[in-house]
Amino acid sequence: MKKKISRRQFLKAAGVLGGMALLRPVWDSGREERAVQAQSSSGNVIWVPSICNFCSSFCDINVAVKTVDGQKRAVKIEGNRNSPLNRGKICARGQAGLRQLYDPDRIKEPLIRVEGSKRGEWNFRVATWDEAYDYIASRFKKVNPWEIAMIGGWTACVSYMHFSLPFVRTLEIPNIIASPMQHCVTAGHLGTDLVTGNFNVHDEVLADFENARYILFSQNNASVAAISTARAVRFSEARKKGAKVVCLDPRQSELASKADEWIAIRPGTDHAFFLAMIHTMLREELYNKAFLANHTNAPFLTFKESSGTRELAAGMGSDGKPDAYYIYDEISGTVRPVAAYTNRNDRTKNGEPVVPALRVPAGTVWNSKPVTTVFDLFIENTSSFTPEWASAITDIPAETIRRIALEFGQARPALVDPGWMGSRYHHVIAQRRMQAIIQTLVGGIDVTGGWLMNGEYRHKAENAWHMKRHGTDQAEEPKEIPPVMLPGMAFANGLIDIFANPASWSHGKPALSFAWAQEQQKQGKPSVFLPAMADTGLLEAVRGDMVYNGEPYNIKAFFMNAANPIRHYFPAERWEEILSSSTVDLVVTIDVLPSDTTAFADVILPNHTYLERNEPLLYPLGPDTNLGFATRLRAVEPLYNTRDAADIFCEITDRMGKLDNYLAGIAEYAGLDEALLKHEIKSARDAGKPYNEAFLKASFEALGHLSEHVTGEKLSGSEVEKTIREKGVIILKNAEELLAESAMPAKIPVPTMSGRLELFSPILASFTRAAGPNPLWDPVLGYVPLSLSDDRNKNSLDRDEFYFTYGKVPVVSHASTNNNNALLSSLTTPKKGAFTGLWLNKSRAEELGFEQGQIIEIENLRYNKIVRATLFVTEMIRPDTVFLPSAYGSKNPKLGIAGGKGTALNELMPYSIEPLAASFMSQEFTVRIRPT
Amino acid sequence: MSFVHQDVWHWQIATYLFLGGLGGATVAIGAMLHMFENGDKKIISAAVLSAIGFMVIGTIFLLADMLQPLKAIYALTNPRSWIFWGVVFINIYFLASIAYVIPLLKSWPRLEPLISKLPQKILALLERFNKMAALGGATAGFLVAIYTGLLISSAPAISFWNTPALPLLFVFSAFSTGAAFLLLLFTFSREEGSWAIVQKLEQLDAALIVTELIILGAYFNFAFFLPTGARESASILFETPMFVYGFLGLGLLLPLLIETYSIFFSGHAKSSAFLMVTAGSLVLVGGFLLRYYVLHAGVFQYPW
Amino acid sequence: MARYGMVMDMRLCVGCQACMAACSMENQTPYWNGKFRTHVEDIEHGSYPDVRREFLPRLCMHCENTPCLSACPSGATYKTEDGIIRINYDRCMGCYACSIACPYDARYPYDRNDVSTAETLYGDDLSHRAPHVDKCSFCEHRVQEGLKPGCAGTCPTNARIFGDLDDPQSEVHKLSKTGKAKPLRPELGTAPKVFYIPS
Ligand SMILES: Nc1nc2c(c(=O)[nH]1)N[C@H]1C(S)=C(S)[C@@H](COP(=O)(O)OP(=O)(O)OC[C@H]3O[C@@H](n4cnc5c(=O)[nH]c(N)nc54)[C@H](O)[C@@H]3O)O[C@H]1N2
Ligand SMILES: Nc1nc2c(c(=O)[nH]1)N[C@H]1C(S)=C(S)[C@@H](COP(=O)(O)OP(=O)(O)OC[C@H]3O[C@@H](n4cnc5c(=O)[nH]c(N)nc54)[C@H](O)[C@@H]3O)O[C@H]1N2
Ligand code: SF4
Ligand code: SF4
Ligand code: SF4
Ligand code: SF4
Ligand code: SF4
Ligand SMILES: [Mo]
Repeated sequence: MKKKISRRQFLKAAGVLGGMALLRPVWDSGREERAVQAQSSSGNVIWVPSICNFCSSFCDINVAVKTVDGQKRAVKIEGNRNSPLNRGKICARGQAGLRQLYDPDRIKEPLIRVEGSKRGEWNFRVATWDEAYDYIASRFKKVNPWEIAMIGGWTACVSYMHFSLPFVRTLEIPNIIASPMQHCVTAGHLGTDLVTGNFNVHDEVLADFENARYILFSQNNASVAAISTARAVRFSEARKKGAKVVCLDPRQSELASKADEWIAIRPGTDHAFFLAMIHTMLREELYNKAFLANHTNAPFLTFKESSGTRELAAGMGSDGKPDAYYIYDEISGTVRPVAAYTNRNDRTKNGEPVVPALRVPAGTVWNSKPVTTVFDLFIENTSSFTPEWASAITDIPAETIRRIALEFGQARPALVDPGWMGSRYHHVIAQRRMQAIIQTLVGGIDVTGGWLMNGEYRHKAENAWHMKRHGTDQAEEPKEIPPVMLPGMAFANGLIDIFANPASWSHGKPALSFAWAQEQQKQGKPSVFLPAMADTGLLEAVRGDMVYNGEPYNIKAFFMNAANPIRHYFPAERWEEILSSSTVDLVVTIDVLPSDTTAFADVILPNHTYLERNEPLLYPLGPDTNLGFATRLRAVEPLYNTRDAADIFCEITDRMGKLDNYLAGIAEYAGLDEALLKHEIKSARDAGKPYNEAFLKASFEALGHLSEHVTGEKLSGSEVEKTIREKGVIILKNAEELLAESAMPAKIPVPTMSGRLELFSPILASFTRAAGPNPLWDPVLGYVPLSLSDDRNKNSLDRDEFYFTYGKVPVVSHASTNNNNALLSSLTTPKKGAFTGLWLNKSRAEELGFEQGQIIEIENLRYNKIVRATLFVTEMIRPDTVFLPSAYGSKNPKLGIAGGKGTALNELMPYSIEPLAASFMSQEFTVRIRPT
Repeated sequence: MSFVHQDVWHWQIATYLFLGGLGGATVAIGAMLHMFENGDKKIISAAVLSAIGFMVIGTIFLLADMLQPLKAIYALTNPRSWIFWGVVFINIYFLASIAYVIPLLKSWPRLEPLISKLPQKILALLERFNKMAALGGATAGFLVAIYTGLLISSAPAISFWNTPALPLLFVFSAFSTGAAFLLLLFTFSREEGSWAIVQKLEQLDAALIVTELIILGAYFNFAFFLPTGARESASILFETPMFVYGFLGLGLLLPLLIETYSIFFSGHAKSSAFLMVTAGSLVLVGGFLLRYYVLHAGVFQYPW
Repeated sequence: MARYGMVMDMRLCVGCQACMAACSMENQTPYWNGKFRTHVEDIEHGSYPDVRREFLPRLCMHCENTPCLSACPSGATYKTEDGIIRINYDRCMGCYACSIACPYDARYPYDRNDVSTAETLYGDDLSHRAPHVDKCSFCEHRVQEGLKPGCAGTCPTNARIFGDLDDPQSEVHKLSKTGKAKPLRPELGTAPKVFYIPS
């Protein structure tokens, strides 16, 4: 034994006995003690609260820390049992977090690319932080601010939004490209948000599975069972209580395996399924009439413009916004105005009681135009979307579709999951909108057993409603309020107001994506309505082909935080070209691991891993419905020469001479006391300490104030800190109370244009006005057929041709685990087939002569791309479909475990976006498989 | 339901089982030959000595396969365990066989001086109780031989092993290898009566092989009958050429053929000594192959 | 004195393998060599479209009639007062008689190779240094502190229910007594204390 005996003191009996056993194998007989059983989490451990960093479920955790070898060492992670979000549970990735902390492949010091080497080669030298900061600042100064793009993954988005937004504002950088948008949530969430007005970091809906009687899933798996712990804990309660679960998925995913009914729908046809459901529910009158009449715009009157487009009957206010909508009052039998922004329709604008009709008598007119209700339009426009029609498209028997619609409409409460990752097909926005509409039809928004709003979001909505009614009623735009403090769509609008608006920037350049959209439009080319944080125009701007208002708009510098575009943005080759371009003067990455993207950096700044950091702020409890907060406290001292992201941002702004403005910006966005913050930062600086604790201190104070606002009881910063340290979470108000007080829309408006749930979408109507009618942005409902080939006449698959699908597996998180995690990698091994291979139906494999485990080529028939994969032959997938697990295929050999393993999905993907928000259409093609 | 090859015990243990059986049976048969047939003491002592050697080597293989051989001393803790009894039998075997063989060694003139160095009292005792030691060694040898089968037949989830036929098979096979080994040795004997013993051994071995074949037939019949791991194991064995041609063909049938030939046709002619050596060697190889492949074909039947 | 047992609710298990990860972190099992005290089988029944995927989490069944214990010559395998089948690491000689005897594939060798990796990984926090045969301990160390075992504690769907089979109030008692949850291969007579609710 070469162990130092002196260190033994620190040991619990475990090590000692174990060690002696080896020394004295024979004589040490019968000394079996309980102590020998002491394991990781027992004995002398301290539990430090933190938040998991492997997916945006944002689970609350506790980290067991022991002193080992004279050093603090994290030995175990468990779910925080005080957390209402994940209820003490965490998934395999959360459990394996230590292996990121102790990953020998971590980036341990700042690295600067050796002069003369090429990006992508991995030729770096170790640098000091000062050197690295100076390097970055000097390049930043050389380029124009709009020539810089900031790229952020979800870690950056969820934890550092309040730093990134002021960062770009302070430095006048109008470009942020965020991966959880185009590559993930935009499509799905925009769809549901058009109805509910939501839009938030975690999206804000936590489906109340455990109180639902009927649950319908479409395109879900990792978002629930495979796995988002916050949802899985609730889903399992639903299963226990006997809710009926129906799951649409072309293969038997983890979630589908837990459904009472697995429906192997033809890929890319869910939209038709939901349209047929609505068709049936409307005709069978399976909807909550009172809810629709009272809290949605279903009873709003609409008319046809001369151009043929549909508009809501609305009075226009002096500010160009509606000041009233019109309904048909069943009592008086007249058309009456209701308030433009409120949560209910049972009073006129002036407070007289009305009973809004869902259907109006023929011949009703408003402003001498014939009108129908929104609801009438739905009845009318769904007439052709019969179950039989959908059956031919979806490959699901019409009776099944009809039965599910009936069951869903009759079960109370029934729930269709809002979905999560949506960047797959053109129709996903429309489809998710239909899901929100179905949920609205049964009155299941913000009610028990339906879609519940998260605590922080509800709080924001309450505040906004309060402000609207009191004080700032004089049409005064709440300009001082930073967009991050606005709820839902208002937040989105606030951001668009900044990023799409040339006037918000001293240099007059809006975000590249919006500039590109305007230019495209001018030239009559396909454009995008809301390219929020999208990458549109980026390649052109790097190539030097992008002109905005007659002037070149180039991109010359990239500043990336927790982002891995080379591997996880679509497609790989586009980002390889962008990042290796000689016109790009600077590529900075902040990361913890040598991701494929870091290889393309000029400067790599190593971040603390999440277990080494005190996060600078307090964060709402992910999507939880309580109003509560948590943060990460440092479990162990940073192992290497790494830094916190907040410090990195501050140092760079400091070198750009703008630290003061930046701090003011953060204080404003994060709601911190500016003077206190500046004072704390100064002390930290004088003491030569990192800044992030100064932020956290200011955050504790701020939460003390918030507590006073919410509960009437003010807490001091140290009281808040104490609760956080002891419990890991601080809950200001519980979910039941919040729901009782301010259900949306039962009690307060939702953040849509009208405050009601919007079956008719004014936003889509505005697109129609701008660009003419199109089923993609039909404000009522339009069907968007699947198109998998450029050849319009082709509507069947060839013998060796397949629909292509992909998705996540339970033990991998995008690139964050990269499967470079030794434990997760071991968990994958026994399931290598299902977790890393291309799923192919067994009978098809036999027919085509393929074998289990065979290495094959997948050819993208539409975009001519080829990748290799290993076959997983199974009965659990449609015969016409293949499925590839995502998140493998890292190439950087510096990743000792993950490097070179599996298939890089984004090498098969095209650059193909839809026109609403530039979401990726990452499955809109078919593939051929063939032997290598 | 899944069938999974056992990946716990490999050739080391097969060797142990083989040498244990061989060593046990050799002493058992040898002692009988000594007592009832008055066989060549030189040969018998050589046989017992080598049997002890086999047992030592076998035990070394067993220990080497363990994670912590030094802790083997604990093996005498749990009497419910077959290994416990194995250790007991092997120890008795060693004691008795050594006690038994020492007086016999005097038949080797060259060892005479060595033996006489032992205290007279002890030697006298050993001489006096030589028969008892022989009996003890033989019994222990028999028990060791049967224990090797009992050990592996006690695995409940390996249904191919978990049958009383297996210890039976192993014990017959062990005795067959023991007889073959003695047969080999006796062909070198220069004593008068040895040839008769060779003939007896030949008959014994042939009888044992026939019994073994009958047990095997019953065994495989049982294995193929039920849709369990046993069927899986049996079919694995039947698909293994080394088992079918090696063990069944060369290790059982061919020696049986040779022995039958020699018993009935050549009248145990001395000239067929070469054939006998061949038959004996084949039986030994067959004995090892049987254990190796039976271990190899051990298939767990898991309920998932 | 309790009689601890576990019920696996296969209607709930989603095959996320959090249990395996938790167990490995809790008990320092040599995951790097693919060795775990608990596994989750991913089983495919039938053929498309009538195909059913089932996850079966498994660990040591802590058999009442204990073949591994009977097979263990050294007494290293023993039964605690609470009916937990444990291994005395100091006594285990690594003869594998127990592994051969176990009908549920619950055991694996923790060999020299594993120990040396574990030493570099855990340093002085390594809880067992001598090679031995290892298996699930029902996390007795946690149970004694009133905690759930590592795997059951983290299982996001509560598919693993742990408790005292003799306590009439306990969920495990109710589920096993009513016959809703059944052991695996009861015909072997091992009387496992882990029960399964079929999916
Ligand atoms: N091929 C493929 N691509 C996908 C998807 C897919 O399924 N397949 N899914 C899409 C979806 S849904 C999403 S949300 C996005 C997510 O994509 P991202 O948000 O980019 O998430 P990750 O890939 O997990 O992490 C990006 C980088 O952050 C680093 N990182 C991890 N922890 C830290 C940290 O603490 N600090 C810092 N600075 N860096 C850290 C990781 O090492 C990694 O290189 O990916 C999208 N892209
Ligand atoms: N393990 C793990 N869990 C995670 C994450 C992670 O990285 N790893 N990340 C989190 C994040 S950021 C996100 S966005 C969510 C994503 O979670 P989800 O949105 O649930 O995404 P996936 O699990 O990738 O895909 C869901 C399912 O859609 C199926 N599918 C594909 N095409 C179609 C189709 O046309 N119709 C239907 N009906 N089904 C289809 C796939 O087979 C797959 O089973 O997961 C979160 N949870
Ligand atoms: S679901 Fe898993 S990976 Fe995601 S935050 Fe929770 S524990 Fe972490
Ligand atoms: S943690 Fe629970 S749900 Fe996940 S695989 Fe294990 S038993 Fe199943
Ligand atoms: S499952 Fe195996 S290891 Fe566990 S008690 Fe039963 S026989 Fe022993
Ligand atoms: S390996 Fe250890 S626990 Fe198993 S039987 Fe042998 S001594 Fe007992
Ligand atoms: S009870 Fe403990 S030792 Fe057993 S499988 Fe669960 S976590 Fe592992
Ligand atoms: Mo995502």
